[in-house]
Amino acid sequence: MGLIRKKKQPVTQLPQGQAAQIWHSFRKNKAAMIALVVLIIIVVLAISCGFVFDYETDALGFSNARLETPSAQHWFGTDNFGRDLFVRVLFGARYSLVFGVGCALLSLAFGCLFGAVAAYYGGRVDAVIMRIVDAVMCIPGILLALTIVAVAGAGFKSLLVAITISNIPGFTRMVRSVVLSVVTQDYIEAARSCGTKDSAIILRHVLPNAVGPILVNCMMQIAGMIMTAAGMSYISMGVQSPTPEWGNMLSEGMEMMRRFPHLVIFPGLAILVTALSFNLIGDGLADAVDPKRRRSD
Amino acid sequence: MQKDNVLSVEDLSVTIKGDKRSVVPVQGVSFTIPKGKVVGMVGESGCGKSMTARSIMGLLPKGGFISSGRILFGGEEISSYTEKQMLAINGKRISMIFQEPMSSLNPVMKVGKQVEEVLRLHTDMNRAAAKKAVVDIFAQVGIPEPEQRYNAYPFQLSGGLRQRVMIAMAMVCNPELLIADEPTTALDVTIEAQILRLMRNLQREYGTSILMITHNLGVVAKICDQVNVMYLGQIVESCDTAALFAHPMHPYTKGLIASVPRIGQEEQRLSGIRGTVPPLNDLPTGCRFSTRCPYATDRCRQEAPPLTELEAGHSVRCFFPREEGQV
Repeated sequence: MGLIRKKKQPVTQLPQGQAAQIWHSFRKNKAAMIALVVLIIIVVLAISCGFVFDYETDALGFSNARLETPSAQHWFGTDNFGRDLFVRVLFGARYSLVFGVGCALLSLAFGCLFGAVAAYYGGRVDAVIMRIVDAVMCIPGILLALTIVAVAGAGFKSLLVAITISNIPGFTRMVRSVVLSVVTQDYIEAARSCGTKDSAIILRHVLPNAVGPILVNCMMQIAGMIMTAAGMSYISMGVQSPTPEWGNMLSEGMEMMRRFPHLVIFPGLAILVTALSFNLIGDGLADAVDPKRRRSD
Repeated sequence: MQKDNVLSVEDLSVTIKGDKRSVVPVQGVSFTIPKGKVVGMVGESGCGKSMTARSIMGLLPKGGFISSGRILFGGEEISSYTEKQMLAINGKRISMIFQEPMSSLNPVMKVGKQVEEVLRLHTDMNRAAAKKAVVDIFAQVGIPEPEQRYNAYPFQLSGGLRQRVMIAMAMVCNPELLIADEPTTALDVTIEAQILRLMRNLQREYGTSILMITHNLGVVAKICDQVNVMYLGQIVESCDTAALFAHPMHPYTKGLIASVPRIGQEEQRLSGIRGTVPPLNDLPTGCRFSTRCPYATDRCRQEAPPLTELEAGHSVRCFFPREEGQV
């Protein structure tokens, strides 16, 4: 047995490209993959529900079938106005996804701008930006959002703005720390010692190393934003009733949840599953983007 | 004489401006690197040896600048070059190897690509030619299976292999001067020997001059032709390697040599140099080593000794260099 030598294993057979590798590693994380599939289903449903269902006829207009428990006709049952809960939850997904992803992208854009400027210029610019961030961070996020909504008036747009603004300080701090940790790495200096230009250093060395952690952080924040949006709507500071928003539906169902628990179970489950999916995907990404934690087997 | 030197540093001082006050980590340092020679720069941490190297590359940290003196490289005064002019020289004619092979390579880029990037930056080679050149240099620095290693990521390589990649990166443009900043400090001893042998071979083959920065006298003994001993930002002794070990003159050098443990020597205690390096913002008056020197006199504490050439090619910064029985 000892005489038969196995043919030498090739050193590495990783797929090409950074994105391909992250995917390669991400795919091995079962929980994250399930979450991704669930999220894709939610997104597809949220997009397609407008084409498949007509909100006026499919959700409303069951005035003779109020407070029905789940059945073959009404999968999630109906509420006290005879509205089909399944269709409402589907339409609600649009709001939650827009809040989560939209607020995350907006906060990220501002956070990247402020954070990168603070990290790059340092000194006084850094001090001023970070002290402002510190000051804003002292106010609890939900309180800040509430204040903004109180000033701007409740509604879809003002809630979007409120959640975005209350998340900008956190993103700024996160981007700054990520950029700082990359810029001070030895390989940046090594690249400089090889005569690499600043622009090439930023594009080829700083960005590829910063994108991973920023993306992971962003994913984790989305879940929180979805919950904030639902929470704000729940206390009627966000999207107003009768718009089918999950937080709204929860607060409407609260009064009758003892006798008709399905009124809160389904919207609640929807929030839970969506938020959990984003978190699990974030976890999977965290492992996948770090080449040291990536397994080549 | 001038022509034979790849690099000559003349009376170099580096100042780093801090928030409250400035420090001068390098003061009045002069040395030359002859063509095709390996010159060592020895000293404790914080003695200014890395700062000297960085000022040659134009890579001083924020707030740092050359406050006096000049650096001549191939007859050109590179100390007055702009950042843009230095970019054209760095990596091509002067290159650097860093201490930490673990963190000196971009973790998300293939090592081959990183070396190729340097090559494409400084030459007109196309992708295919550059790739071939990289595989060639990988083979030359002793990386097994160079074609496959081209596609490896830094975390897939051992420390020794990564340092070989760093050497390949530094040597790929065939520079005239290679600055090695403690290239073997992070490696274990067997790998250290291999890396030093490799550097020696490459140096002989290409005639590259090397500035070897180290705190390890063993490294000096193995590879250097000449040595400069630095203490607190000044050169205290400068001579041939053989002379340094045969008859060191400065008490600091003697202390350094005495503090290297030797096998088979019947000595109860390993002698060290007493005291610690004073901080740069609180320098002693007179000789900078006077606070730790066992033979310091009142004169040493008041008057700073000049660097004087006592023998041909052997300079010492001490009033009593020939004192017998020191250390």
